[in-house]
Amino acid sequence: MKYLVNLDPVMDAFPESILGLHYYKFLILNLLRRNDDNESFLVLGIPGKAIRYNIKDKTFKKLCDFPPGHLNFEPDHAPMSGSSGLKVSCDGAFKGENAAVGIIVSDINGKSQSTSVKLRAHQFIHKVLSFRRQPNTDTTKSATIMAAESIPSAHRVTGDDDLLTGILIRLPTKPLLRFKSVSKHWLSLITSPYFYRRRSQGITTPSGLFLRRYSSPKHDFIPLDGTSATKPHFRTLNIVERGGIQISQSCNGLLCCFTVQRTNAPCKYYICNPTTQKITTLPDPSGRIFNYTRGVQLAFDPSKSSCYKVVCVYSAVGLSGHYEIEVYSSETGIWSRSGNPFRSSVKFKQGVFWNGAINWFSSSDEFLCFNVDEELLRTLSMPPVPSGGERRFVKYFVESNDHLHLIENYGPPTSHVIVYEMPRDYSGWFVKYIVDLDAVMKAFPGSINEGVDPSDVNYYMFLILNLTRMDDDDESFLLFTLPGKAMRYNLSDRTFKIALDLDEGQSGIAPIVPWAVAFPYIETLACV
Amino acid sequence: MATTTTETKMLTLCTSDKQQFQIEETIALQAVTIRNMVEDECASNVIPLPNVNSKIMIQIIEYLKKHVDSSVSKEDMEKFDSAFVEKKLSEIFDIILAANYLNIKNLLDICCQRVADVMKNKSPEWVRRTFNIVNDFTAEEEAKIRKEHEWAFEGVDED
Repeated sequence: MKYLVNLDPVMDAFPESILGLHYYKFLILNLLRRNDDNESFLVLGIPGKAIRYNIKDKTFKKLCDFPPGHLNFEPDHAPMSGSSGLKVSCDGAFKGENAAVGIIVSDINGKSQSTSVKLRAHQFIHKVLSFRRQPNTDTTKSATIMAAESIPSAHRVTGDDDLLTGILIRLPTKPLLRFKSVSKHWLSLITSPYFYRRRSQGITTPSGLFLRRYSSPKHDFIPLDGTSATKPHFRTLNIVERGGIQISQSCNGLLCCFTVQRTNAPCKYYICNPTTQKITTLPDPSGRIFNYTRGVQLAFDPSKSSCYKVVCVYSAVGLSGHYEIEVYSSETGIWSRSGNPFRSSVKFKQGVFWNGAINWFSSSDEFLCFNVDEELLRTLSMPPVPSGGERRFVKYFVESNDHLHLIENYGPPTSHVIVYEMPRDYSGWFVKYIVDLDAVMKAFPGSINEGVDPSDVNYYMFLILNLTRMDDDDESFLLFTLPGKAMRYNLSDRTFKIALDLDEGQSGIAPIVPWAVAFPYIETLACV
Repeated sequence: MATTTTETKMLTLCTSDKQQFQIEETIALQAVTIRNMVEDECASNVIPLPNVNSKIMIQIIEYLKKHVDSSVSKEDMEKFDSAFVEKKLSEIFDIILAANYLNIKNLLDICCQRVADVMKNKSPEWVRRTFNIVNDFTAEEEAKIRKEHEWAFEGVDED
């Protein structure tokens, strides 16, 4: 739908066009689109007059007068609908800027009258809307029985989708979900991709994290926005856990999940929206039959499209050390193979969607990215291991607020981590933060494993859960676990505090696992 | 402020109830609809505003007068705005309609925000009653939607 035009104000201004409660006398004589869409307008015919109605700013004015009886408002006489009807044609001979453009209106008897109308259109599209008697579905107009506290003018606001949308997009997610049950119209408005896109601009910071429990398909919710008002509504991630499935990735509000298999049976993959509690099962990629799947990643950018893609990497059959890629599109609902088999040393299990591409890291020097729309694979480099560093420990790999980060340190084990960031042009990693967790470890003595040698990878018992970049960089923070607690560390002023106390099942995570165990929760109304 | 001898140009606005308001042009032109009318020279001395009644016009002029004053700090302006929208919802709705028609974006924004703020802890029943919306779901359909979002019904104001 390009425009939804409510002509009520015009009708009110020219009462001669109102015939009754549900019957209006008007014709749409033409629609003129301009280069600048703000200037596009409708030409309306009402008894005795032609009206210019600016679609964007909803202003209108009289263009000219017609002789009485010149326009036929019978519904059957829709312009352009047939030879018996009123003919409207536009004289498109003048195309210069600010040129006058006329409308030629032929009446029923075939007598044509050229009406010179100053339209000043410089671009001209000869397109006439079908005749539409606008408010015939407006049931609220006739509703005279009103509850005592109802607002007389409310229906004029809520009956205008532009105005209603203007109000609803300002609501938090929770009431929006509640108001889906107001009426069918509200439901369709709130769940429409247009509404979702308008609203999703600007909401990128997570309000919490799902923390995966070690060795059990349970997820705990850690609220991040600090207000107790938004108490974790995820007592459990019901839809996910009921099916015994786990999250593998969080991408702009949607979660990519998979079934936990105890046997060698191939995994099933799901896309889930934890906000709306909707889940969809993906069809099987062809690589699945051999259970050769190495990684499944979600690519979802609500600022570009309400559809998503899923990238599946699997071992190429009969080609040792080679991989192949298949891409699923939620728009078409099918998987299709992309490109040729290739060699790589990256870890396909954890990919991060950023900058239109799925990005994978490795513990060697190779870094790989796959542009999802262009289906282009690029090999890049990991940050160099500094001299003296024994080996690379990737501590975390994360996108936050449109920044891609790689968090590493290098043996021997240390409480320092380096946070790298990649510019959007992939010109190379740069050091964004150097974080020394020594002060934190000292404050919580249990976080150093005295039972092992300091050279042991398990000596420092911290596990990075997430890095959140805020619009105001002073508020960006790192979230990590120590035994028994989740810590929040402010990257700018280096202050830290306990974010959450964890029980044994939550903190018993092997500290060196670089795979994501925490998944950001970003509220979204996106469809899955 | 440059003080010149030229007279302040005035505009006359005529509301739906035929009341006339004389206001400075600079104040009135913040309303895009009025600006377009003046620029297109389709309005004579008196600008008809058939969609706005005098009661609402008075409030809109109050808003426009404040917002034309560039000496008001951002903080004071926000204070003014939040006090301005402390009105009954029925008035806010009338102002929304007028602001939409007159095309005063900021005013429309703060009024829509006000409605959203009032609504956010209310029940769907309150919304239907207040906005006079007919519930066209069957009982089963409604129950299904509510069940999907049970958590969203926690902490709702008593009607």
